[in-house]
Amino acid sequence: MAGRGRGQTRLKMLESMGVERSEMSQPLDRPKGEAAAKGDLTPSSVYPPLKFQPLPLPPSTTETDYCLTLLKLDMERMRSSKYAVKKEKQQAELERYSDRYRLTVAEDHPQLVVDWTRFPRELNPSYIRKSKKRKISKPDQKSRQKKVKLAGETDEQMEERLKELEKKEKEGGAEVKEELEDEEDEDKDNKEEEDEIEDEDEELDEGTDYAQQYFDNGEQYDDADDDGNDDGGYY
Amino acid sequence: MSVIFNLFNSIAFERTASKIVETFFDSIVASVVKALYRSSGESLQSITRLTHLPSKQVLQALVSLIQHNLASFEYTPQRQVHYRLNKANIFYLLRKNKYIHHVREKLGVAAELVVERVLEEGSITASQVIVCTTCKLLMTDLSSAVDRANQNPGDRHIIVRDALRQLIELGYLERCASPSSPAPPCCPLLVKPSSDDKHRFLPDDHLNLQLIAQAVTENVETSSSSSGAILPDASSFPDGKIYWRLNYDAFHLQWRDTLLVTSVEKNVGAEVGLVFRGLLQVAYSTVEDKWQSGVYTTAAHVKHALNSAPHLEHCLQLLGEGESGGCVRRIGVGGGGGEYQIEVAQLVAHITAEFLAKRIKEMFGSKAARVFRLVMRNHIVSADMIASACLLDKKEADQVSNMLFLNQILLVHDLRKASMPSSHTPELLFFKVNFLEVVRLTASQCFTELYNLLRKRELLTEKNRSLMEKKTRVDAIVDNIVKSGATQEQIQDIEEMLTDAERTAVTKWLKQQDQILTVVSGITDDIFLFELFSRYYCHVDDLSVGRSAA
Repeated sequence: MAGRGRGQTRLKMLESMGVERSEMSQPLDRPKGEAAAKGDLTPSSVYPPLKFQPLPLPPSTTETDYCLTLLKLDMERMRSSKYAVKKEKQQAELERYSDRYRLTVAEDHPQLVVDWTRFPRELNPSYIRKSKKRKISKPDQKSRQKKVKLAGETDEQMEERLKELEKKEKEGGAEVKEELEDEEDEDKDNKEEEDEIEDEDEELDEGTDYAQQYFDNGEQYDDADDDGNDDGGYY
Repeated sequence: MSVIFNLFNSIAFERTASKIVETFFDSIVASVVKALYRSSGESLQSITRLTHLPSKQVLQALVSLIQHNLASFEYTPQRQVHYRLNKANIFYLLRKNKYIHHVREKLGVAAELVVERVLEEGSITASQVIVCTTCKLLMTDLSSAVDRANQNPGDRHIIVRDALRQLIELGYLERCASPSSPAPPCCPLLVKPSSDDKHRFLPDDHLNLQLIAQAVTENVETSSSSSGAILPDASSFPDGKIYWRLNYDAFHLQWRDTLLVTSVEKNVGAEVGLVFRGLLQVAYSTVEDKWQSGVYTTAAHVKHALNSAPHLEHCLQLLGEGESGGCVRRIGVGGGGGEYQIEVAQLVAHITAEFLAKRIKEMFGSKAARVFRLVMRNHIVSADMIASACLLDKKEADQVSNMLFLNQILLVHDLRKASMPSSHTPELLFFKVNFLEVVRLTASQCFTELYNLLRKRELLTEKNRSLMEKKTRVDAIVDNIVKSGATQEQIQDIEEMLTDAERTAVTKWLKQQDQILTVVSGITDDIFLFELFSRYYCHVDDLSVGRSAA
């Protein structure tokens, strides 16, 4: 069965080329003759032996040495230039969830600065930041509108109130201003009171309410035992 | 059947391209190159998805590739941006030293520094390159090589400006395309400048020499000699929108001519080589595209230009014969004198065939080279004819042809089987050579060798990194103490920080690196020949190309 089909043609072709059947499946570096008879069991070499050795390198001249030096310097210079994109340094401590979003650029590596008008806008990092800022601002506007609506007013009521306020401004602008000033004064007073309260609290608490709840500085104890004797103790 | 042969579009070059980019730019840019290699255009999102890298790093990698003309971008009808690779330019990264050396030989040190800066930045404005080059001249010891007698040292930027102008006029530097109109989004790198564009050449009114001199002074004060000149902001100069880059074709054309002339000199003689060089120069004066294959010139023109050449007629006759490639033919001999046609493509094919035969001789021996040349010359050759024509034994001829067959250099020609097989008909074996396939195979072997060498260099660099860092530190300390006036004993003590074994290892590694890069340089020269071949034979209709070359 082995001698039929494609194998037959290949075997015949190799035979016609002068390759003997015994040589067809043997590796080239297997020991032959006496070494094979002795039972030499050394492993075969990793690479087949070269029949023709490569030619030696041409002798170096000043021109070739100069080109070689230029190539080496160029490779080193490009690797340390701003165009070689370096991997961001990873922290050696415990991996944290926020590491994914924290960007650390390799130290001493120059920043990439080019003329961005010659590149597509999507490659410009500042362009990407602006579009993110716009996205962030939209929810705040929506939340402000919601606050106005939650006060119990519909859009129509709000518009009517605004029209009334405009009329009032035209007719009695001073009264409205006084009202606004009163409101502002009230706000200021409230703020001052809050500040005073905060100041008093700061004097007493120093940030905590420990003094109110826990600390007893012993003043009451000394007052109760005070007989007016100011001479002090004798030791 | 037309066969397309594109050298840098092959799969064999894919791995090598990413390794070359990794050698110069690091692994992140190499990943982007790998993602872009097999496609004709990818968007930013698909590149990020394919590379699995953060988008910020992909952006920076694309900017680096576009800046160095290794990639370009275009807008699709859907107003999306698609990026694609300029694969040939990736290979030219390995030839930067040769471009710089070529300019140094032709135009001097100032031009060499200009080209070096242009290659470092990829694309740069004229003012920026003048400032940086002048600073380098002032900060290093190269200024003495540039200064001429009675020249004001403060006018070095004018010398650099003149060198830049010379480079542009000779075509070594070309202008990057500028956007024609700002309204629709257009790719600034694909728009070609129009013929009446007044900025095609270096415009004097766009160069403010006072501003440049001022920038040079500021730059010298702020930068140090170790870090080099700081690149000034392009927008602070009037030519801030006019960028220049290297024109590789100008260099390749001159190298092609050198290769052709050297081949003729080697095969025929030095005198014939000189005549051939003169013939090429005369032909270029009448031809617009110097790369075209068939270059014509009239006989009268040749005789007028090369009147001083000895034995002109005999040399022209030798150029038409087979030994020199048969590239020069006389057409229309008559009263007018006729014309001389130079078939550059034929000569390139001849040189390629010679190169392949030489490579086979190095790998398999002179007998294999003899067999290859015989089969190349004839269309189909039988096994018996090989033995008789190459003066070999039958068995030896069979072994050699078998070896070439196993290495895919020779092909077996299938014969139609007889309708009535009989035992008396001898089985004949015929061989042929597909020249294009052999060239393609050799080119892919060269790319594989290049990849192996770069990879070996990378592994050895990593292995010897700590040793080299230690050596650098010791050298820095020695330099510092020498400057501060240390004694010889102190210097010796510092030098003894590096042991003898370490010193031997460092010397061995540096020698290995030199050997690797020398071989890399040699392979890039070989691939230049295949580049020329693929330029002239990119669409091959007749697969017998190269038969007449052998």
